[in-house]
Amino acid sequence: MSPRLRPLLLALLGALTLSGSLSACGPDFEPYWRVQKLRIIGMKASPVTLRPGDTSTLEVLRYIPPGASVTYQWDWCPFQTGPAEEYECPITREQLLAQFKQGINPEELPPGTDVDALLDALFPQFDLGTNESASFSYPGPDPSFIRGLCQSLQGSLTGEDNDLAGMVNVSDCEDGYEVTFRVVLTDTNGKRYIGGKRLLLWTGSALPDNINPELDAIQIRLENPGDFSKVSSQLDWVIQDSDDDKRWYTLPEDAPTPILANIPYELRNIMDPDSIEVFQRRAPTGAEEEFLPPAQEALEYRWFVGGGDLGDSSPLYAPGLNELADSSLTSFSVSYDLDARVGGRELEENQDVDWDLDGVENASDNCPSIINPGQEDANEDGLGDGCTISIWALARDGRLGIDWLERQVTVIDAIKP
Amino acid sequence: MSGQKMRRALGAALIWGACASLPTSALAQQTGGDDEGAQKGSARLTKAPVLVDSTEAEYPQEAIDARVEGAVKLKLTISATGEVTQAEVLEGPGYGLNEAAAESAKKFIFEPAEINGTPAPIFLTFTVNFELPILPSAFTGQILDAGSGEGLEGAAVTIIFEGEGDFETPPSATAKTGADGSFSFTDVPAGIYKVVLNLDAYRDYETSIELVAGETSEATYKVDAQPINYTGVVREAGTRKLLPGISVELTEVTDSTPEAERIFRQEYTDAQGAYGFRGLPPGSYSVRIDAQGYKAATFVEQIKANEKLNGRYFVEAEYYDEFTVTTTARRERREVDRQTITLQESRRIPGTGGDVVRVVQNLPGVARAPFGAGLLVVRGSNPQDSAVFLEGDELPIVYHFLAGPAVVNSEMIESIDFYPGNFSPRYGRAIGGIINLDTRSPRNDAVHGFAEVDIQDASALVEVPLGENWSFAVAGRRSYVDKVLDFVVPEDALGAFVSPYYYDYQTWLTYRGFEDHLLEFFVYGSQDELVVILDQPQGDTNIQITSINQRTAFHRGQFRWEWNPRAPLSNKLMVSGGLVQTGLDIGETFGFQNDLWTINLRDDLEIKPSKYVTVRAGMDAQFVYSTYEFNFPGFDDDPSEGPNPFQGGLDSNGGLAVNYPAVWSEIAVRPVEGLEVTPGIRVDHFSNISRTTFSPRLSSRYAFNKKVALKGGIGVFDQPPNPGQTFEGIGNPDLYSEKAIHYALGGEWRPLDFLEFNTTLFYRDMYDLVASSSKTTQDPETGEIDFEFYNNDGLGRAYGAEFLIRHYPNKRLFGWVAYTLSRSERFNQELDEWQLFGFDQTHILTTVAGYNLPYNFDISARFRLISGNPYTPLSGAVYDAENDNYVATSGAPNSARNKTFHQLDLRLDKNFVFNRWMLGVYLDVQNVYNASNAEGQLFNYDYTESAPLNGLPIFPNLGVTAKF
Repeated sequence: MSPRLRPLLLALLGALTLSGSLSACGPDFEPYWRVQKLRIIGMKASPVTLRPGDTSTLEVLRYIPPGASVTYQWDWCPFQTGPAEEYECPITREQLLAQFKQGINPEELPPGTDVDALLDALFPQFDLGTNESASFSYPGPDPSFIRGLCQSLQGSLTGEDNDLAGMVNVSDCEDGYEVTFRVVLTDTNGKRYIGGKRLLLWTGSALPDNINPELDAIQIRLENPGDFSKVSSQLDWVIQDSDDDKRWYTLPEDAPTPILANIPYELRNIMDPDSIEVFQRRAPTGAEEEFLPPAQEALEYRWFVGGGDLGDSSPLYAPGLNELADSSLTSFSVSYDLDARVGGRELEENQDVDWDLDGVENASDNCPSIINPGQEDANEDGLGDGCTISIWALARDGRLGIDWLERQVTVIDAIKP
Repeated sequence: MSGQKMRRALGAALIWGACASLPTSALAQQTGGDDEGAQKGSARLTKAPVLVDSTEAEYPQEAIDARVEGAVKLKLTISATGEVTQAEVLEGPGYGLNEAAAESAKKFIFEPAEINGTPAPIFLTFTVNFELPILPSAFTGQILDAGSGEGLEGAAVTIIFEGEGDFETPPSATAKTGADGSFSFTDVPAGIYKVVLNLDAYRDYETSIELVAGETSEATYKVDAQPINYTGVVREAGTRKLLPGISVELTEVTDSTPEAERIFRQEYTDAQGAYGFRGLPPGSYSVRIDAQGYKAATFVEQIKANEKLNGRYFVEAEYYDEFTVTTTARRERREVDRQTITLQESRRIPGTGGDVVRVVQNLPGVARAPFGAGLLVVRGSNPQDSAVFLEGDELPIVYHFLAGPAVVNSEMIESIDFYPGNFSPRYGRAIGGIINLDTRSPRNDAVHGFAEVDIQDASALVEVPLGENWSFAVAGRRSYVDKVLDFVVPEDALGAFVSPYYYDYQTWLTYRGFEDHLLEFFVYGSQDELVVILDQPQGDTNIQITSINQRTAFHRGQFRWEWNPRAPLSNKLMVSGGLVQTGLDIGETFGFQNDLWTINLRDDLEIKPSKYVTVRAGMDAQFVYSTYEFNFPGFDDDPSEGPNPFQGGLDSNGGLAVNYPAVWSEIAVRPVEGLEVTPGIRVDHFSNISRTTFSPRLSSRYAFNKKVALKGGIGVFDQPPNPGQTFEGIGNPDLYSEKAIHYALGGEWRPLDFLEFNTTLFYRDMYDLVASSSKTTQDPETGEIDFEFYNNDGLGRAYGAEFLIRHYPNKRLFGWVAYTLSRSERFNQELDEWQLFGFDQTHILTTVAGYNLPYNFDISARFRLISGNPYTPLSGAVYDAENDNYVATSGAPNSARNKTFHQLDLRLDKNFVFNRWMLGVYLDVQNVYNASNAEGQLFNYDYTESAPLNGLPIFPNLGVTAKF
């Protein structure tokens, strides 16, 4: 069962049992989608399917809190490695070269092949550098070498009851060969943040290459059109229209969009429809046909925010089951419920003049509804840094393809709750 | 004998026992002269002779014996001086009377007769009369019921003298009849008597009889019963059980009669609880019903003339044990370890929801299952290594989902036997433990019913007797979680339509018409289904879910024939057949359906050729035809978990016949008093893996006396791999059976009939366990990769000591203290070391007690103190960008432990006893003091923060039961 499915089912079943619902009153962990500490949010290889001669750019989407800094280390491994082993390559390049050199019969290679040079080209350095991003080129001169590598690994690992068997493609080597890359972020305390991802090396398949999906925009609108009158004086981007579809406003890339706290919004992303491919999935084991009929890719979305609250943070575009346009829709709000904020303390007298109770009264607070007693304002625009909230939209096609966008909103004021 | 003597003797004889005395006129021998002869003189007789001195004649014994009476005519020659000089017998009855008369006459002295004025000798004809004294007569007889002809006990028979006499009141006597209706009067003066018969509930009867002296008169009187005018039955209140042998006392309520003379009658109820009073005079009566174990009850009833009163009474028991239909007989023990729990205990153990199977979890050797689930972890074995049988028929599913109750209604269970290990070869295909549920037959005394409602489900049971030989019952249960969800959860709160429900049913029919045979027909089944319909598709790019449908069901019929001839032989045959279905559909693309058609056949034969040997043998066959359908799309998996054979998904279906025939035998030998050694063997065949296994087992028991016994056993146990693990293409058909060797040694001490101490040391060696494998082979020609999926490389071991102090239900108290000290481990091939089994619990202490309080309150409690389960600590987490989640990196497997578990559960039952039914209300509070017990760990998304996942907080459950 897919890793994403399992928790869903468990949660569903758990929610139904009384014991489950009673014991579900667990600790209040920070939700997955609220990004407030150093972490990796996504990784991308562009392109994600490499043909001989191609070079892919490897990127990591990460959040680094103000004041923190990290170093980067990129690696790749010619196998499928997994998170439980920290994406560590099970074998060093030197060991691998030695193994292969031993196993290669030079007479099977085209005459005049420089074995050392070939192996060197097939297995470039695992270390991909320490920049914020890295690049990776198709190893070797020809897809037949990668295909041969795939097949020989399949063969050599059979019979062994070891975990390496799991690191090799088990489907047809004609479909391509997956290798893994990883990034290790190290903060100033030496703490490591590891992420791993795979990309596909083309081995001569006749099927079209998978490409990354493309996100064009993130859009926002009021969840309740009736709030228009409450916000229109402060938010000039808000559109009033009887057609809900026309109320969407595209968040600009270059500047934060002002919003008000205690007003619910809706977010959606805009996908480039051309990036959603029609492809043929290999039929399940045991099926009569080799491939399933061509079908559009499904998309898993992810929303992350630096603050506030999200509704469904992981909606799904399932062709045939819902429409692309609103498939990524989620709700978003930044709420300052004073009662919740004071956490049961008796309401203080001055809460009317200092909503966030950070000691700076609303009139002079550069972020009146978010606690920021220090009033930090790096770009000196009069809005505190803390008032700016990042929103990330991610989309995955389940075939190694991914794209993301990041936008900002700034809470300029709050509707008094 | 003289007349006086006779008189005295007669007088003495008149003291008649205890009966009465009859003043009797003295009637004795009379002697007297007869002057007939004197008047015949030849000369003129001037003076007749006058007898002046006579001697009474001796009554000769011969004549007395012959009871001869009569007159002897004598010719006396009287001298001139008045002496009798000669006595000649003229005629007489003989028997010595003639001689006696003559002899006595010779001693007579006369005033001489004078002839012509001068004394002269004379002849005189003289008659001596012999009369026997009046002899007592006897009177015996029998009073019979005119209808039934049965003798009537306690009837008063009065005889009243009707002969002549000078009495103020005629003499009378009274006798009472004995058990057979007989009476007797002896030494009654002869004469005519009036006979008067008096018996409660019978019409008075009067007649007369003439009693002949010296004779015994016999008479049989048939009297007509008065109609019963007051009848009824006595039942136990609430259960309506008919109560035999209960005293029903009537006392007249009146002021006009002195207390001693008021009518008092007593009857006892018969086997059917019925009593009847005949011919009660009209009036007011106080009815008192009293019996051991019941509260005495008094009612006042009016008896009216010509009306029949029906008095149905209910008496309340001093306390009610839940369903005392259970057998309390101590059963013969032969297994090394068996604990039997009866329903009356199990119903009230808090936290089990009255579920008999969950009760087993409180016995020694059984680990605590998390979240109150029904898992059975017996002596360190996996939950699936233990099997649950219903009358020898293995249950395919034991529990409903959502930690629900068992799929068979507890009301139909009579007792539950639990074998933690070293069980008889009668049971197989399990290497853990065995639970066998014995059902009870439907009661055939009356219609009975039961209903229970709690927060989760409702169940009901009805038992109906059908004539003399048949009885029938039907039971059912349905959850209403779905309805409650509809009601409680607002429609769009879940973003889904959710409908979970389960039901189960049982019907059974018993026939007892054949002597020595019992036939039972049993049909049962259950279904669990969960339907979820989502508003928005969920899932991932491989599986998009709009609905989930998960279902499990079985329907099965069972026929059982028990034959217990009056011979050292018995046989039990069980045949069952049915369908087990499991299925899961997630959206359009993920589906799984498995149908199992099963036939189970079991025959158990026991022969006891001598007191030294018992032979038991049987067969135990399971035939399964399984069809399966798998359909799921490909998905990404963590490569470090091994290769994913189904990267592209799986689309597979097929059918498979699996036959598990087995035969077994064991011979219990008792060479010396107290010792029983039972070697046995079981031969199993597993067709899906084409293997036949031989499992020899030995158990022995030595009883020093009735109270102390030692026991020990060793045996091989095996079970086939799960059929799914052997399917070609998704499993390994070359697997062989999983095995375990059980060793056990222990002792029992039962100082009192209801108190037992029991201890067992055990070791369990488990091998050939099925383990998943990532091994692959490549077809040299096609280059295709074949997966092994599973192999038999798993190893396990468990050892420990179990202690049990058990107080069987007695004097309102039952309970036990169970303590297990144990360790269970599995061998980690990868790390090449033993590691703790996931359910390893070093210390397991469980205390259970129940007490019947006054006023029909019952209280029971359970306290558990148990080591926490081991868990694998996590050492960090890594971001998987492909699946957008964090995967924890693990530390040493099962190297850490949850906190010690402790929990107190209480249950309070109150029964409201009405005459025809009982209403029960219970409050079952789990985790009374709200202990926070970690069942696991909760982590935040990147495993940097953790918190214990706590089990159930304080959790009250209120239930209502009704039964009649």
